[in-house]
Amino acid sequence: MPAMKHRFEAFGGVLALEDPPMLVHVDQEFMRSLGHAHSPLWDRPQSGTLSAPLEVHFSVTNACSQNCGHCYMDSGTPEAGELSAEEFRNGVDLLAEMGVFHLALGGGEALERPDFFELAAYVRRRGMVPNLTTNGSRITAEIAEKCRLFGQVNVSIDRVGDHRGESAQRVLAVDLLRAAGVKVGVNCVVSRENFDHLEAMFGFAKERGLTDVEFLRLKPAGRARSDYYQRRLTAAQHREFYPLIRDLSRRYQVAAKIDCSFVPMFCWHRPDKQLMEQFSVYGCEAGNVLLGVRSDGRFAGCSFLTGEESILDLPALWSRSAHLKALRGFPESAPEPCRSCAYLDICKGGCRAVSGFVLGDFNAPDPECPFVVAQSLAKERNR
Amino acid sequence: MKGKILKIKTGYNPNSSSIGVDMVVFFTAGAAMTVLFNTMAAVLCAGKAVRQEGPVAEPLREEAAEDLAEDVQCPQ
Ligand code: SF4
Ligand code: SF4
Repeated sequence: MPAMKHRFEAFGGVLALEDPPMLVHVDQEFMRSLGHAHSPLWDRPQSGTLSAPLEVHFSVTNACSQNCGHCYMDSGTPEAGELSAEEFRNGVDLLAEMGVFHLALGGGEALERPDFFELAAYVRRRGMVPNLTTNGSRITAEIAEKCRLFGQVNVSIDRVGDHRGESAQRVLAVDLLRAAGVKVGVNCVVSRENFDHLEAMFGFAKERGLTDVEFLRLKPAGRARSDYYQRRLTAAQHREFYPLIRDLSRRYQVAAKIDCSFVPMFCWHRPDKQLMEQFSVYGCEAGNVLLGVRSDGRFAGCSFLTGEESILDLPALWSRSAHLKALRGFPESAPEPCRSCAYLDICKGGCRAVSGFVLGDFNAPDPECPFVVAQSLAKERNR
Repeated sequence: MKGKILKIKTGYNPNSSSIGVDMVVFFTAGAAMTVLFNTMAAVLCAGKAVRQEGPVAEPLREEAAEDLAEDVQCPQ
């Protein structure tokens, strides 16, 4: 793996480092300073659309023996027509040629696919960094050792404190991975059930020396659709979310991440916009910065959206797909209150998956954004 | 070294469903400058190694990184 990978973009280029891991966008002059010759992309008009995704989220199987009631992927049994190893490698070849840097592998439970480590090793060989999300159920000392090939492994844990049964296995997985020298983080889906217990998650991460905790907003996808309205955060919790994790992160000295769909809840607290841009706070970048691929090879803007096109056609479809164009086009046609929102170009209207489910319109402003909620309340009062 | 760093994203995003955003620069005063400094040092260091087509350079000492970074315009 070279010290620094790069790809050209109309604005200049993107540099990818592995140690420390980072993606750095630089202008054309910076690229020239690094010794790169003029790129034909620099003659094109600059737009917000990248030449390829920076990271792709790839489900390698839909198989998962845990069968969780709230699974956003409807996992359980393998999907019909799951990609063979050869088809997966063909897809990886295309992504490598397009200049994708990171591949987040998941499922289902990725480790339930028998040839999983061969696939992950292939991603490495093609110069991309494979990362992994797992439920931890298959992690043994031997598997943990093999996981050293990943940039980072995140174990899905929504609540800590009761270290019994399935929960105990997840904690054991974290410990085994740490012992093997793997960078480990936690993915924590925030819902009404665990909102008041997030402090315990920070305590756990501190005690275990985890790299970070990533807080994900509950999405109405897969089986999580059935009880979405009972489990999603209340409007008050959405407003309290950012100050809560900020204070806990400071107190426990544990790095916290929020996922793209939480960006409207962050914007509500009027963060410095320039800092957000410089430090890559991405709102809905489905179909631009990221792409989701199902285990049968169909891709969509992200894993919570659905698409019918094949990853094997991505190079031709990247700039032509109507599905991707619609996702990228939100800022130009944004309705109020997004149209007048100072954060529109970063947030991009909140989570399309939530708008699609709650309002039946993927192009509507996120109905759970605190600004949108405030606007609706004001309208009601004025009626 | 001339040019401008436009945007930095630190760390990986193993979450295989959505994009994660590292919040450290918003939580901790002075963290933005530290991240920026480390980024410049890492990029310059790796860039030097790439130009020489040699092995990855040793991490730069702080003063050396400052010297190298002199001409690099970075986010305010
Ligand atoms: S009003 Fe729209 S653009 Fe602004 S934060 Fe809310 S969802 Fe995002
Ligand atoms: S629809 Fe957009 S905001 Fe929602 S999870 Fe996907 S990329 Fe993130």
